[in-house]
Amino acid sequence: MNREQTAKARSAKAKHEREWLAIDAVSAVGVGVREGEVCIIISVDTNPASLTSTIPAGVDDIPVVVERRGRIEPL
Amino acid sequence: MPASLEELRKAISEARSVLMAKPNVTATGIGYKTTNGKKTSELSIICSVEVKRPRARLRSAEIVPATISGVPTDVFPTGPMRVLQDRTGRYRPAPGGVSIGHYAISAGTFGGLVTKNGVRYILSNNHVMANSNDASPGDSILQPGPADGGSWTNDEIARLSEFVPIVFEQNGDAGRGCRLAATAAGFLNFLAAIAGSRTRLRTYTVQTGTNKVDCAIAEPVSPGEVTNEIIELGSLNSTVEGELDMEVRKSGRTTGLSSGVIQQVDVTARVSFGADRVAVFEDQLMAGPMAQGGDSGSLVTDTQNNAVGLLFAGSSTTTIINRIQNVFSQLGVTLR
Repeated sequence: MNREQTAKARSAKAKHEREWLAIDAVSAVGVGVREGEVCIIISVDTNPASLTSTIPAGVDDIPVVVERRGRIEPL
Repeated sequence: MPASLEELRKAISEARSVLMAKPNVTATGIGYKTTNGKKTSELSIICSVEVKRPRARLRSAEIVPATISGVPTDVFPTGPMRVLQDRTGRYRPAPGGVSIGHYAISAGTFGGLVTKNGVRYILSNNHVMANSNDASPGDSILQPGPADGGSWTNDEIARLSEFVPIVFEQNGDAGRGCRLAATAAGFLNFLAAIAGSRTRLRTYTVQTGTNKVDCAIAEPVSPGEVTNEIIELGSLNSTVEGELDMEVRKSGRTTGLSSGVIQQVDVTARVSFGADRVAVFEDQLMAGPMAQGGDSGSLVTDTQNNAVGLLFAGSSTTTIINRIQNVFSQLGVTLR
């Protein structure tokens, strides 16, 4: 895992997560790896395609991936 | 000419004791033979083994003959056999991984034992043992939990000692937040609707604190009524930081032993606790689906039995886990 890239992703996430969490469909924001690349992953409970105009494909040189994960509840 | 079912039954009854005496055979039965990965229509005596190895790597005592009394055999790898235990029953002493709960909830999971000031406590979630903040120290904790038949009179295993309160989000639209923000969001959502966008903003006030954990501890009414073991996991070794791609396991009341992989770290998650109650949790770990309702409170470990986290939430596709370091520091507990 690229620690430098992970730290950069964490920093970018911290800077932008509040605006993403203010979107009704967003249930979580985290840092993960997709296709070998460290990225910010935004979990939503709706069709990710409906958020393409609202959530950028990347911030601060870090890719942003939107995934449908459903509503998060205590188990 | 293929063997008939009667011939197979006769052959297997004669050969069973010899086959079961083989050190690698865990079960015998009758079924269709599989050849080159494809099930055939030929009935055979099937010998189950944990791992299927090439004939050249077997000792002579381990070799299953190709036919028995003219009936073909087959060898099927099943993995380790284990007893399927009902986690919802009453256990004394009770291990980690079984049903537990505050008397006013349904049921969750007894995570494991932790220590504080030399006293052993049961560790689980706030929403399992402290009814999502709506409980008081001294409240009865039942094993099994109420949804599994645990009763106040017969099944009290511990009394609530401490919990870390969950800070719930105050909904701005409910009138307690900023009216200006609510008005602005409403106006922007109106414009978004006119423009054909389905994206909606919501308003919320900043929480007065940050959630990192959903946890509580309860002191057993008698130390002999609990055990340090966790069903199907054994005892814990130590703690370790959860990292991306780490393989993890948990032992829980509903789905038993399951495994997953840490897919995300540094997760901030909005968790819906029912009608209009939402709490935001920071610094969480996210794994794939490895739990269902009732598994909350399970300890999550790596493959070396080191505690990684405390499972508390999820969806059909995801599992959210408190970091064990945050749990231990906020409760002031240790593993031993």
